[in-house]
Amino acid sequence: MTTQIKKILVVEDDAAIRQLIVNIVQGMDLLALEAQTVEVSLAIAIQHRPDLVLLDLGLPDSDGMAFINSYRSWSTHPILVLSARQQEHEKVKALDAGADDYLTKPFGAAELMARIRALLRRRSTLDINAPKFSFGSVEVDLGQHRITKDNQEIHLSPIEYQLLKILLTNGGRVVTHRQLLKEVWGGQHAQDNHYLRVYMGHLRQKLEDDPAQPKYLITETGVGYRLNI
Amino acid sequence: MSKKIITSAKKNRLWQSAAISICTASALSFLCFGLLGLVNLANIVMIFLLSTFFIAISLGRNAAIFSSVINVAFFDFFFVTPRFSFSVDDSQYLITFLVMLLVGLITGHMAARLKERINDISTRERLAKALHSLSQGLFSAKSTEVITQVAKLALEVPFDIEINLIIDNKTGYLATTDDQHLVSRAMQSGTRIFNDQDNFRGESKIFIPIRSELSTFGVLIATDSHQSLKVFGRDDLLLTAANLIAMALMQMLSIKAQEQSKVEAATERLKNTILSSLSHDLRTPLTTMIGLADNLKSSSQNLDETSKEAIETIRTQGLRLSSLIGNMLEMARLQTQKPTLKKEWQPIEEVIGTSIKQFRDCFPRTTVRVKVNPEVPILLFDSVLIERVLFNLLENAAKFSDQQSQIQIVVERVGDVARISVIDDGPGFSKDPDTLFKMFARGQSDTSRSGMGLGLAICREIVQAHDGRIAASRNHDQPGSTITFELPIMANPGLPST
Repeated sequence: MTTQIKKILVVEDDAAIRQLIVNIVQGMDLLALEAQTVEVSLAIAIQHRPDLVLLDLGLPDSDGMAFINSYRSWSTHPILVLSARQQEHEKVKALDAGADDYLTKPFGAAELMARIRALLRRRSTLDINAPKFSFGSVEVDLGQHRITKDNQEIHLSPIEYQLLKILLTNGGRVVTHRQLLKEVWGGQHAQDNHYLRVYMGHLRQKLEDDPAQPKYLITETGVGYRLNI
Repeated sequence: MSKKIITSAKKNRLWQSAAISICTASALSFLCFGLLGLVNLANIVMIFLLSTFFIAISLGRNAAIFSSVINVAFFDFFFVTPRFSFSVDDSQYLITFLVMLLVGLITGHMAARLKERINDISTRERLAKALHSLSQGLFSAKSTEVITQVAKLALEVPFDIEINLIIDNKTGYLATTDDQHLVSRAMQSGTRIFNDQDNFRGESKIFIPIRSELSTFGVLIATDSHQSLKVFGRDDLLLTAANLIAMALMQMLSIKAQEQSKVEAATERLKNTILSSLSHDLRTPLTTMIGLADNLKSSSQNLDETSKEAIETIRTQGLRLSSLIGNMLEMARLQTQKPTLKKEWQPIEEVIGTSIKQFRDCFPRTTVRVKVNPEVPILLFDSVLIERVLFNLLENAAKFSDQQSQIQIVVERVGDVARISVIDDGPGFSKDPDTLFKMFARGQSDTSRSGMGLGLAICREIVQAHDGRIAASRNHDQPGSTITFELPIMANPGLPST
């Protein structure tokens, strides 16, 4: 099996930021494709089938949401939204429309690289379907249903285990409140965000060294949760 | 005065019917007298009865009574032997008289009643038509003035009354103090007040509140100067009219409110657009700056320490500028749009964690310690805004103390509030702590440190929007200062069992 160079499509209208992102992408030994408008980016996406799209939401010809809707009708490859809009509901809207993750401007290079890696890795882990994960001193074996921290076995309630499993299988990607509620409780509690928050608190108590300043079970305020892995 | 006129008119009509009855009876007597040989008495009785019937139809009940009495008298006088005297030879005729009188009275009464019925029905039909034209007129009315006009035009002539509308206390009607009293009583009680047949002026008045289920708009006053408003059920019809007017007013108000909210929505959209494009335009160059600094720092190992530090400063200052822009935009949003809170139940730890994470990016060398009392339950708040409060308080504490200082966040339960304190070990405030929360105030007047003093003003704004309080004080037992805010603890919605 030959490892092909992964292609990243950078959709951004501001030339300086685009250049910056392209530099970062190339620094990661990935191939960068560039576009400034929704129309051009869709044409490039159809022609080159990029492994990942970095998308700015505020584009000159139309909203980045239009790109997500159109792209999602034929591709499942990940989209990372870059947005200067601080309104949380904009991010949730983009994620619910099919974006895989988001990054708020201004962002650091390290942060961007971590997100790109997480999204690309997620695609490959999905193929392998590896049941073992580890973060910090925590080790999770989904196959054996076993979680240890500092080699001590940790007991999780069924709901806590479910939450952890969903965050793990999303590999570093943000998962919105709605998605989590739907997957753990089904449809009937879609409004009861506090269930989720309380169980997430329990999970932090059990897995984090300092639950008040979590390193792995990260809250994305107003949007959802992410497992830093 | 008017009552006298009415009674004299009634008297006139009475005399008139009496005169007509006498004339008819005389004419009939004269006619039948000529026919006496040809027609027998029984048929003459019939002719007299017929005249009573016609008089009943044309002149009404009173004339019919007159006519039947006079007819009996004339019949007796001119035709029953002995003639030209009221005495009767054959006592059989007494029965004839009695039957004649009774038949006359009964047919007269029934004919008159029929006529009254027809009259009544046509009047009611006219009134119903008036109501119909009122509802049609109200349909297109767009102001209270037009509504008043329409009501007067549609009701006054057919109802034969005077209409006055008092809407929103604006009155085109000079009410006497008595009337004003009744108007306010009708408004308050919500029921109609009847002032029938005033003894002094002989007029009938009704005060009907114009009201919907939710509110009372005003009063409809109807005055009839010569008969009771209960005649033809006009009082009930006027109640219907008042309801129609209330509906028209309600519709008018809701259209106005709709237009108002449309304008407000458009303004809101414009403000939102300006704020979000401002946010985009200000952040875009910062993104490049911070990103480049970050990239430079991580990719180039051959830089000396001074350059590395300079790059790090560019990065952190850029982040601070970004947070300042965030504060500015947040303040603009809070002040132009009433803070639209998205309150949700959640543990306070959650936003403490995220605010510290954000804070670390800007102040990597300051340590934060957190102590949350487990007695504090989940609280109802807007996570984005409270995160902003905590971040601003941390930033404030770090900015006015040393780089390597330590900040503490303590959360405890005091009665029915959760008290969140941010404690620093810096030099403390030189000014009165209470003035800190005014916009553009700063703790030290001659400081060269960055910050517009906007941060604390926003904190106050947000905390107040959560029905909480915020206060600053100097520490008692150690250097530095404490800023404390409180959020109310409410009965939480309960949690599912695991």
